[in-house]
Amino acid sequence: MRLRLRHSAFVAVAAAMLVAWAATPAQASHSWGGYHWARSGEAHLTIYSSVTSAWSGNLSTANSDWNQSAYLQNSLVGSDTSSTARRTCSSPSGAIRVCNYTYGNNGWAGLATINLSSGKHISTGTAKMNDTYESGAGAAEHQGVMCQEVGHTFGLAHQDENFNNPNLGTCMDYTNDWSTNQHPNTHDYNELTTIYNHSDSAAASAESAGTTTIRTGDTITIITWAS
Amino acid sequence: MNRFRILVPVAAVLLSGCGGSPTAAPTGTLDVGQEGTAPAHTAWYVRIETTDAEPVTEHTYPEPPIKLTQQLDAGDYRVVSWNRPCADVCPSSGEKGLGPLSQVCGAPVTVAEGTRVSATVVIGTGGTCSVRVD
Repeated sequence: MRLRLRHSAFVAVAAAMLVAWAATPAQASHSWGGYHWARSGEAHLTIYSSVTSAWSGNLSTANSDWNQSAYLQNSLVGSDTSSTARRTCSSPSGAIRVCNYTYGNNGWAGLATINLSSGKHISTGTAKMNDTYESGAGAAEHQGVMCQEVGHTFGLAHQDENFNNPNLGTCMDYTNDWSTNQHPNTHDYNELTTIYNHSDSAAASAESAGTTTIRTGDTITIITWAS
Repeated sequence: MNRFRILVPVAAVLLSGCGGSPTAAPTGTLDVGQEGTAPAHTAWYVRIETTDAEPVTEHTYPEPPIKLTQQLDAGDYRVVSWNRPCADVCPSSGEKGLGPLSQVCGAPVTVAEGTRVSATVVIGTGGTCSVRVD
């Protein structure tokens, strides 16, 4: 009898733990596979702007937003904005390039790509904004998508990929209403701390789930689907 | 021994309680095909994933056309396709001779019980692509 009671208690505790685990929000960790730039202290990355005037203000704001992290102090540099440069959006070694172009009716609003130099270290990154979907979008969506794609190049994934869930107040959240999702939130800055507050011999954050990712050799691409 | 006799049924009850009814989930069929001509020396890939980006299946087409039929539990999915240039003969597995990701496209698709849904990877000039769901 005592044994049976003990087992009943065990079952109740196990069931409670199972329910609690299942209810854990998706945004608990949104590191993109633990990928990060190798550096000591804060990162000082160069972000090459290959965007037209329709996006340049958004990129400037996004850079300022992300630089509020204690681990990022990046610089924007003007670069080639010809249609060829924006279409190809080549990866600059040790830096990031941001581009906009009418990439086509392919289903994605933004595409971020990183190349790995060793293990989980990022060696270069690109962020593409697809004007096929975004040219007619409002100012809030422009800001949110730009913030999100640039955020990916630092090693952040999405916090949530359900367009219909309530807004989380971060650009790393899928939404049908970008009005309150244009900038990073505290959780993003905390995640950057988790990713970058380590010596590079230590393990970084856990793999992210819920994000469409394609790995081709040492290149990893994360997709932001159009709503 | 006693512990196992009690714990195993308990675990089974817990798991079945979370998973719902023990009967098979209702299924539908998703056909994925291709429209347009793939450029020479390109390998194509198709992945069916849940809306949480959990891959259900992924196929490589070193020699298109893309053709895939998949039985799926009723629900929402996404069909994702991409391509990569090949140096010569596109490999059916591994990285040898493959270039970087060239184009990627996708579209959401809903599979209802007992129905058949078609998704078509529409290949354009230079290997651009889009996914059309019928």
